[in-house]
Amino acid sequence: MPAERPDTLRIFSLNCWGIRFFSQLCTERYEMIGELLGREQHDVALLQEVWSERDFLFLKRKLSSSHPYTHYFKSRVIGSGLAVFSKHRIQDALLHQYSLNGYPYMLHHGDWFGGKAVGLVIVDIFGLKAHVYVTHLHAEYSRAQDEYLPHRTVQSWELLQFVRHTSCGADLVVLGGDLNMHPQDLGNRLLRSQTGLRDCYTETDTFDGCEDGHTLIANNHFSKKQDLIPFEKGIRIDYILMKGSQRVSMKCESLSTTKGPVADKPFPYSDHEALTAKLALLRSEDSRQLGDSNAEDVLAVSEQMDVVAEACAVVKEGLCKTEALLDKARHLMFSALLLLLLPLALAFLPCSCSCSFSTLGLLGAVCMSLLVSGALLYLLFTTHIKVLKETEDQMMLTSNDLQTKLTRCQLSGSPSSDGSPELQPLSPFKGRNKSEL
Amino acid sequence: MTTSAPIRFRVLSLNCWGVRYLSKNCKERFVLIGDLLSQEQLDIALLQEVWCEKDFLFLKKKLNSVYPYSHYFKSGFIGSGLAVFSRHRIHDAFLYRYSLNGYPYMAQHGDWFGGKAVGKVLLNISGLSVHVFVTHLHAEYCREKDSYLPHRVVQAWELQQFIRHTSAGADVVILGGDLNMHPDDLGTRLMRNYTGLQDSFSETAHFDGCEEGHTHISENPFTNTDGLVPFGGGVRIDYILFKGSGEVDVSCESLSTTKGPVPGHPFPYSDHEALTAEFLFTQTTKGNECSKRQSGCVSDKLPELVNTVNEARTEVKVGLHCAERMRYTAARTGIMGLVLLVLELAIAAIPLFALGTEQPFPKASFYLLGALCFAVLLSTLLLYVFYSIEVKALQGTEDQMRLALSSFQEQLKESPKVLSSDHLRKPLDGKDSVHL
Repeated sequence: MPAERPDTLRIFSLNCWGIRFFSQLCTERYEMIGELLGREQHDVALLQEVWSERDFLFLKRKLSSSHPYTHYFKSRVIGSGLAVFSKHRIQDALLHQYSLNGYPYMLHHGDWFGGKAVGLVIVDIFGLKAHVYVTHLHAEYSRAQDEYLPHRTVQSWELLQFVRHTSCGADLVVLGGDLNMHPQDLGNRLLRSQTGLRDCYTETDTFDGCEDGHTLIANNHFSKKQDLIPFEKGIRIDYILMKGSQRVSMKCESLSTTKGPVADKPFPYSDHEALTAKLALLRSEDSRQLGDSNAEDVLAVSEQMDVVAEACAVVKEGLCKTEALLDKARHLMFSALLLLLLPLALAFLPCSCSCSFSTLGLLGAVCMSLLVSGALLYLLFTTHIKVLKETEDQMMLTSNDLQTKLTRCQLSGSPSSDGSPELQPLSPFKGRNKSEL
Repeated sequence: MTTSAPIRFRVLSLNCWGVRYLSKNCKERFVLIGDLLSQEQLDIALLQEVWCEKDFLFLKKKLNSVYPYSHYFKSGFIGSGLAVFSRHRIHDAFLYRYSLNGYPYMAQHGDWFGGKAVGKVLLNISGLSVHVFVTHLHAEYCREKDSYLPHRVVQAWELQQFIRHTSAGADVVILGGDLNMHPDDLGTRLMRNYTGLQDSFSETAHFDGCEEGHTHISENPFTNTDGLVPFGGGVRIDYILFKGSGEVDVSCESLSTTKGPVPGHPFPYSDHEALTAEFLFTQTTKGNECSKRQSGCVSDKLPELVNTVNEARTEVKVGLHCAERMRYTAARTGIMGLVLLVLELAIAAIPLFALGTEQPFPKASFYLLGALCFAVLLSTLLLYVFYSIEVKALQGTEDQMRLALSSFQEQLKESPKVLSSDHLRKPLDGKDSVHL
């Protein structure tokens, strides 16, 4: 079968910073974003931080002719903030909410109230089945002392599991979003090594945008300079990742980012820069398989094992810290309970204590509040511990799997084609080896 | 390609009723369950309501030689209760927690505190990729007025979405668990029709067990017989479902259930009966008729599926309406509490400005009322947050259902082309509205 002319796919990703009443010039910026999307006519636009449904509906109306297919992922209290606008029909959608996403009492961070998640839309593009993922991970507020690192690691793990498990039938896979992680951060390495997704920035033929592909830059007057310390110029935390399949091979022809101020406009689209990737699709039957597990060598497998081990260590550390927090919640509850006995005793004992009723009442009220808070925190931290343990167990399973692969690779001395009897025997049912998921 | 011997695969599913301090003879029953699993020569055992990790670890130690691989799915406050014991290596595990699972204030039902979910384990049996799912849905406490029906429908929807989307590469799919739904209930029909999973009870060659395949029976001394009277003494709410693929045909050779009391023992394994199914995986000669790429629904079942999804969507809308009303009530009560508090503070401030007042300040009532207002504010705030989560989850599910219905419409329009392998290569024309 002769090679077919490649189709191209244009993907857009932007963290819109759509926090009504908090982020600056929200309404005006959405107008600009709508104009940009309407003008550029990307195949698929992946937006994050579209917190208000009204803003989503505004964009939907504005883009109804250029992007008639849309999906808005709703979760938690405020919502996931994830929206997809597509020129091509969206056949199905699925949402996976991350099990860990900060703490409700960190109100000034507010991540917990947003149901951070990964959304999947299955889109029919040129007759191919495209699995497009959009996501937004927990923010990093302090790189030096990142208390949310275990949460972000768990989110990265759940993201890669979700992509891995739901992309088997896909012809092509695209992931766009704000990962809130630098390119060599643990979560990023974990995601890429376990899914085989490739970073458009590193793979692109041509790049036009901020230096080093930064997506949060000092030059953008919405961004806070102290958030970028010690990275003076900017950081790269938004990504478009991609992967082909046996049927389709993908190549990033070009990648561009906005560069802060927008020409003819008084302010940028958001505090983040927008990413636009042009992906070429080669639908040849004899296209080279990319990300094929059969091509893994010993080095790649042992690298994967190292990353999983590193992630496991972070999760274990998170587990220790959360168990300590759980202890504190328990102490809070018991202390409150004990303290509660004090005003009750004083109220009923016929001693000559001159405590007024109001003081006792106040003390009682304080104790009750502490007891309720303690109980809620106990509930929260117990749930967190369960999630961390589950993630650790899943990582161990993957680690064992990789260990078996590694042993097999080392024994055979070549890419795995004759697997161990336990793992990859020549199936009696088929004339070929079945590659593992 | 040489023909090969079919592979036998034995699966057990049991709701263990492992609610420590509440369920009867818990420890002794887990010993019995351990013995049962040892004797049964299963390939995989899917257990639900193993709420306490200590019970899981007990079984793990006891069954280590027979079932060296196991996974305990952890989620929520108490846990998902889902555990898997397998003879074959578990290559991977994944958990999907349901968005809705009851109400925290319904403490007597307690479902909310368990993190009900669907767990998936990946096995490789002689080169076949076998995806095994275990789940437990929200209980039904009152069939006539089922306030949890929207939650269970959402769970059934998410269950089928999860199975469909994660089993594209599977040769064999098996689902076992306590669905808490009768065979013809909306959620069960939705599940079966959309995923294409078959019910082992309806498909089995041989059956040996309770009448009608009931898994919750009045003969079981642990069950509450009053609830079962309208159903002729038993209900079928536990299932083992299965599906093959383009290359592998799966048939159910036999299915059996326990029948209440266990011979030689003073009590049964649980308040539910255990299901044991034996499957046969054989090479298929069907070719690409059931392509793995399709979501498992064949064109002639589409009209029925459309009806089922529409029915489910109606239930979700009803639930949404209720949740929005509850949220509004919580908000209104909270605002009233706030107004009352402000009013009270204002009244309390009067003596500070009033001159020559002789009436003593009613401290007791002031503080009591203040405490009441504060309690009302706090509880309505928590309820508002909770109902918002419920509303979002129901809206999200409704959106997905609408999308699915729109896809079905497209498929029905193109139905002569559905079974043709070429149709996927042709770009779809037109920009039909996504809304119905």
